Amino acid sequence: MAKFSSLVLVAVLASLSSAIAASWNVNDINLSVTAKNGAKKADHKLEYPYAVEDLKADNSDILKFSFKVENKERPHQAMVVFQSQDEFQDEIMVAAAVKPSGKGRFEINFAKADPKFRYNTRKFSMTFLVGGSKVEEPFKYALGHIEVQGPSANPAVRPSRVAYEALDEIHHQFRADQKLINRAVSGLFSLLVLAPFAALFLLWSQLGIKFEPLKAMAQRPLELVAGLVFFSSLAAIEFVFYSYWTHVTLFPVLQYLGVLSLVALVSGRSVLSSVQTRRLQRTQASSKKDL
Amino acid sequence: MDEIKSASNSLLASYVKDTPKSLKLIDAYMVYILLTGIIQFVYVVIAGTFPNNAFLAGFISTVAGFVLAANLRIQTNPKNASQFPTTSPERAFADFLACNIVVHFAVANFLG
Repeated sequence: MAKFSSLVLVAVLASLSSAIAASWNVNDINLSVTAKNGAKKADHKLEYPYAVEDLKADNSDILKFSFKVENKERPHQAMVVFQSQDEFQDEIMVAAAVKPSGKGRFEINFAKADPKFRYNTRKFSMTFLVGGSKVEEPFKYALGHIEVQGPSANPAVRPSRVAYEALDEIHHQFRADQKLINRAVSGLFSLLVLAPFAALFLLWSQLGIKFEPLKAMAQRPLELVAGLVFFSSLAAIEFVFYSYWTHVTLFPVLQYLGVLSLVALVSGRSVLSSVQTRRLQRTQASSKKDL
Repeated sequence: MDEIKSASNSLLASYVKDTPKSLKLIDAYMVYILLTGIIQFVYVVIAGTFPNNAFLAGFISTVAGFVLAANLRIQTNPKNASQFPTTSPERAFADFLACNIVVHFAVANFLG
């Protein structure tokens, strides 16, 4: 059993080690410099560890670089690092996009690329780097050197030291409050919104309602009390809503509502059932009359 | 034009004559709510929706109140009694009150 498990372990380790390849295999490395008008100034097919020397590029030239990764795994990073060969040792990294086929390429138009290319005529070393998690050892290839001409007309001066200074303080800008409308207008409309109440009571008064149930109730004090309790509980619920709007928080409101709705339920049931009995008596009486 | 006048007159007359008083009561209430909603809307057109939740709460309360009143009217109309055999007018009124309380709670919540 112990032998078997150790065998399994060995197999697993072996499969792991085959999953992690030892090194990158990069071929077809091409480096060319093209003038603005399309004329080729230099074209190099590179093979490790051959390094190009005396490569020169104008400020308006385009540098093209391409390669092919032969491994099954794709690199996470593939780039060329340009390092200026002066006291500043500026580093410019240019990443290449690698396609699923393994081909990678990039172009640098020195007129539009990193401004560090445009300070003056400077010599840069070029290092090609390929790396990824599945391959243990990254690929590092010193491609050689390139001299990039600075702009002919007033080249920018490279600052000898980067100045770190405090920027202006950032002030948070709050959005201006939205303006409430003129008090007179809103007051006028408050009155207007209340005006239909008058229409309501006018219409109701035109109906000529007789308060028969009220009179009937008055004869039975118990029903009167139930009716009063019902209406006052409804009014109290509305008042609770009003105070919920103005100042009371939700949980006390829910407690009040729980009590008041119980009261309203019980009293309302008794009131409405008495109303119903009266209505049924009335209809029975009228139907008897009809007969 | 005269025909329209006479038609509307007869409509009004038959409404006044044939509609039960309780339904007229509800109709008056619905007219009141409709007017309130219209005035609120006019205000919003003039003044803008700035406290947006206040407008929505007010307008929704009128719409909901109108719908509930319409339901109450349908259920208490004696002509519809055959369609609501289990719903007495008192039951409909109790439903109306309970639904109004729920609507008012939602509106108060929304007023902010």
